[in-house]
Amino acid sequence: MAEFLKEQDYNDSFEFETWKKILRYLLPQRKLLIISIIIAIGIAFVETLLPLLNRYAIDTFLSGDFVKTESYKIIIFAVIYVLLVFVFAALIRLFIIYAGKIETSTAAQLREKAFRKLQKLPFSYYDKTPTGWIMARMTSDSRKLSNILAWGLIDVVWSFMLMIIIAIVLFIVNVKLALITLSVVPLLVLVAIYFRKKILIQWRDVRKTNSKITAGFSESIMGATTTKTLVLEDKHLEDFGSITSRMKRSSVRAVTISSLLWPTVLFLGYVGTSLSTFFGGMMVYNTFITVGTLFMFIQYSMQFFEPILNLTNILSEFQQGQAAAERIISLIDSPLDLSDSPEVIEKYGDLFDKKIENWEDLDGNIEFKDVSFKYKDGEKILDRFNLKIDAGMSVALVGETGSGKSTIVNLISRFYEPTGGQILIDGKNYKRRSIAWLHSNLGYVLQSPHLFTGTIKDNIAYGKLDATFEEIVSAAKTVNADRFISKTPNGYNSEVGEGGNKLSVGEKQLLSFARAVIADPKILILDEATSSIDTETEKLIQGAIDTLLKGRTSFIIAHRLSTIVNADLILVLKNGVITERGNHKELLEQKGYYHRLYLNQFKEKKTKEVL
Amino acid sequence: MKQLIKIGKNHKWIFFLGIMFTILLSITRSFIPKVIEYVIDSLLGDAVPNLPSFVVDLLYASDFKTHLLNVTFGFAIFALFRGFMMIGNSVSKANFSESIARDLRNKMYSHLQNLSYSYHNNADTGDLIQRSTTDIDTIRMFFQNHVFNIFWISGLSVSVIYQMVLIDPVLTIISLVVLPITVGISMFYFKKIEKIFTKVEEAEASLTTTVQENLNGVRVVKAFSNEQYEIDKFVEKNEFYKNRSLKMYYKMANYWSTSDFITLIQYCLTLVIGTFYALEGNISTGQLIAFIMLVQIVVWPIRNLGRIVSEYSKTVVSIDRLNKIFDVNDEYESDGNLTSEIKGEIEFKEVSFKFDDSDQNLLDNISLKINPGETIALVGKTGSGKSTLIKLLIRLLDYQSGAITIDGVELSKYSKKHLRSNVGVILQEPFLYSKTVQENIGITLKKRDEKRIIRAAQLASLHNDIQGFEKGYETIVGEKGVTLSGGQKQRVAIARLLIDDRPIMVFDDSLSALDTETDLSIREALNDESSDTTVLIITHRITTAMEADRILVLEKGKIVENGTHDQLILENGLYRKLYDIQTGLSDELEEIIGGE
Repeated sequence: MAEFLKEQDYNDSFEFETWKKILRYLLPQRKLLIISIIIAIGIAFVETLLPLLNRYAIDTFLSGDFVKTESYKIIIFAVIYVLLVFVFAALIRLFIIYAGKIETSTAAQLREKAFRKLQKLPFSYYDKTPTGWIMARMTSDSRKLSNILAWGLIDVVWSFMLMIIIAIVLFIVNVKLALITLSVVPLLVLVAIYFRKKILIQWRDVRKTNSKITAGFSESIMGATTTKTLVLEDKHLEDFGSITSRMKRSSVRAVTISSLLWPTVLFLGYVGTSLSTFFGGMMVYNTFITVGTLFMFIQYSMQFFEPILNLTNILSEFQQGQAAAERIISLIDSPLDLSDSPEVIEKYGDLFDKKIENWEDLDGNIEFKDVSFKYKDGEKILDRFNLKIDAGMSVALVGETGSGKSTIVNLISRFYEPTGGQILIDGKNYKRRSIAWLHSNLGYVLQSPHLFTGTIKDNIAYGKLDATFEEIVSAAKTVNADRFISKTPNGYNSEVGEGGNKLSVGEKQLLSFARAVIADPKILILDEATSSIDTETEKLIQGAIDTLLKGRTSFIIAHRLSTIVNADLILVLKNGVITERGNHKELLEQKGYYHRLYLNQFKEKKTKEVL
Repeated sequence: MKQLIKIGKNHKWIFFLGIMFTILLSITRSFIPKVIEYVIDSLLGDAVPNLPSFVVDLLYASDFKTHLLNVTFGFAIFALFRGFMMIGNSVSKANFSESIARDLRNKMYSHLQNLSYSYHNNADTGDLIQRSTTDIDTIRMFFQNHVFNIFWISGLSVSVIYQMVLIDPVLTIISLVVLPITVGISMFYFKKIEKIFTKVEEAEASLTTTVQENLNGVRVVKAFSNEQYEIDKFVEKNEFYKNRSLKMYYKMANYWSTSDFITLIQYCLTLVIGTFYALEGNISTGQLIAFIMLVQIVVWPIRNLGRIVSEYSKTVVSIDRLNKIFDVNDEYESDGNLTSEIKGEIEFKEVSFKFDDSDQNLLDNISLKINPGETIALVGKTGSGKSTLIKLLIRLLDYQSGAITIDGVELSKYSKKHLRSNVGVILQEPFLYSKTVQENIGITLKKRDEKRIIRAAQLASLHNDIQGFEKGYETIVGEKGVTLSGGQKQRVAIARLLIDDRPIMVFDDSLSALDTETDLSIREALNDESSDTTVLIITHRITTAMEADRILVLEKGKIVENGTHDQLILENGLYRKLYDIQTGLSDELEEIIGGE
């Protein structure tokens, strides 16, 4: 987990490789991008034209030798001005729309790319990657990155264009005055960059403290009763108070430093304006330039500073963008360490383009042949493990945590592959068939049933996407789910809520059985729940399991006594080795681990029935 | 709102300081065109500048160059002065809003802690956290920016319009004719944008749910080979979210372009009509230029009025949501004040309890007396009232009728905190704080005391476990730390109670998560340490129950059996049944074992 905790730290240096990769994601939007850059240039042009018009009006109409009879010229001027304003407004509108299009499309595309990758990634990836980590990449990171890419890039173009055009105009009009006006610019840039860096660091600190506040609240709420019983209210309040005080201190500090930037820039700007006012004024006095020109210079010198601030702001945003980019790329570029070989894909198709016509039927004979397995950087879990299961048999796996039960099931499901030896399905190494082929014949019923937002019908049909309504109902009936479904407000069309949270655990379990039944798999994996369910539902579930197992090769990580007792074969595992094997009766007679386990469970079960 | 005003009052000086800076800044902002006007007019020798006479005297020089230098230098000084005011302004604004946020957070935290057990039991944790963080943040933002923005805009408007009127009243009216339109459009659009923003958020939430479910259900997805289906589902939601976001940009594009258009048309109008005015000789050229700049200064901020209004309505909603919590009475509003020493004699007299929203008694007319130093085992089905009994004893819940006394004093007379410090309860599902194991065990100690902490850990059979951890006693546990097993969690909870001597100790089914041997050794340690402690143990383990001085069996809120192990074993009740099952004397078990 440690590597995931470090994610908040930014890499301050510029990573060329990252940006090369990221710019590639803008490629599909290049048409939009070019258009919006042209628009940005257009806006910069119009923005510099408006002060020129002011200058024209002042110099032409108020110069003293303007004849009143020519006042129609003023009207013409007005019309041109209005037209220009109209063009400007239209450009602004297009600018926002195009930048918005680029942003939303890039974000959507990044998310889709990441999601597609997620569907392909093997199980081992999910084992070591926290969901929250992935979610952050799918939501805030992709949003931040696309935002910066779209608006940042166009803003950069706009800022530069505005500065360049203003500089050109100033130089054309009067070189000396232009040099004087722009003399403060280099200083301005340096100051801005210096401050941005400081500000970024400060806000990072604020964010860290803020997450502590959230953690504090969450702890006070979740641990409320414990806090009461231990009478810790005052102590906790004191601790929390020191965090909120720190939050205040660091926020104010961050604001103080941020607030230094703008006045400094403004002051430097005013110095520039003062310089141009003074030297410009002298020039007017000596009639080198007109009043209109002076006014224009003053306006331009004020207009010049916004893009500079903008640029430094974008610079620090790009820095954050880089961090987001690195995180998304690390997801999209994660190696696929479990996938079908090219030959297999050639024949059977891949996950998204299945060549079902080439698929063989699956009977369900499974054989482990000298199978060894260890998780990455972990100890060996299985060592030359051998096991042969005939089609149609039900196998109960019993043993403590870490005994290898889950590993065996994961290997059969090809969520993982053996690191040594091979697994044969119907006598053939399963790596020579496609993953999709195996999974299409596999049913998997989880300990804590997982449902998807949608209706009951949708959730059952998840096992067979093209199922008819009759098939869905009959599947529900097979596992005794029909009764509770008909009691829900809209029957099969009732919403199950997020993750199925509108249903009870037992109901969720029945639906997940129905989902497996409709898929009609040849191999069934059942990771049994230990959850406490009322006795009536328990009976329904037991019945459902019995029907579910009929006619399939099944592996059960078993907790329920009745399931174990009825299994064709019980395997007791310890440290990856089968220590006892046989059916219920045989194992009881051995008087070993299974015998003890059974007695204990029996007692517990009976106690539960009484209490 | 009341709470907020109370908090705000404590920081009123910094608030006024912020307002002062804001207004000063807005007024001085309107001076800038004046300076330009002064320069240009003195260049053209047009008119007498309408600056205060002392300023004119200060700047004036007969030599033009010195005069101009004075003016520009004065301008730079003026800029510096404003710069300092800006810093002062930001800092006092931040100070004000952050103080409010801090006080509000502390207040909320304290209130949350003091809310009753029943409130917490029924509350939605996520929602409470959301309110304590996001809603307080919304309020903070409003006080940092938007409140002062109102003063900024008002100050600016008043001083700019004043300046404009001084130059020419009629031209002022012409120049501000679009202002009401801008305000109206701004309000209208921001309302719309807010609405569409909510829709965008909904779309995002739905997309997030899809991804989250996909990740959580990755086994199901893979096992059913439904990857393509999942991608189709995702793409649909993704497109939907994208289109809604785009719609928002369309709305924003419309707004900004319309308001830009109107604003710039206003310039044009002022420029053209002002030119005619200047031609007529009604105003000077410098005044015209100043006018144009003044229009610019006042029109742009006005466009933000709509934003302030929409932020205000958001803030009101947040305040409302906080008030919903603040309005709930905390449990200390009905508290006793007795803090006398407690010895440990407990008596229930015809106590009945039911939840407000139900009409079934959870405890029904319970009468019971426990002597100091006695060890009592409570046995019963889930829902029989065992845990409720404990919760009444430490006043997490209050009973409706009857009386409970400790040392002969009615419970409600005691201060709740005093009562809970004396009656140590280990809950069925203990909560560990995100601190080190050491801090968790010693959490009730005033000062850190390693010896006592280790001693407590030993008593709770936890010491060896902790030494097996990589970081030993410094291991962080809780939400964000190492995941402990259920048994280890229980033992940390036991250790943190054993660190202090308490006259009454209650184990709410907390020993059952441990294996039989650990259970036994903890109970033995407890016996040796404090033989005069009154102990209540809720358990379903016969080996635990049988060693108690007395066993109580509860059924449906009533005590149905009460006696020592030897007595109850002779009755043919629930206790006897349990005993048979757990010691392997039941008929069924006989059959299984006999079947060998």
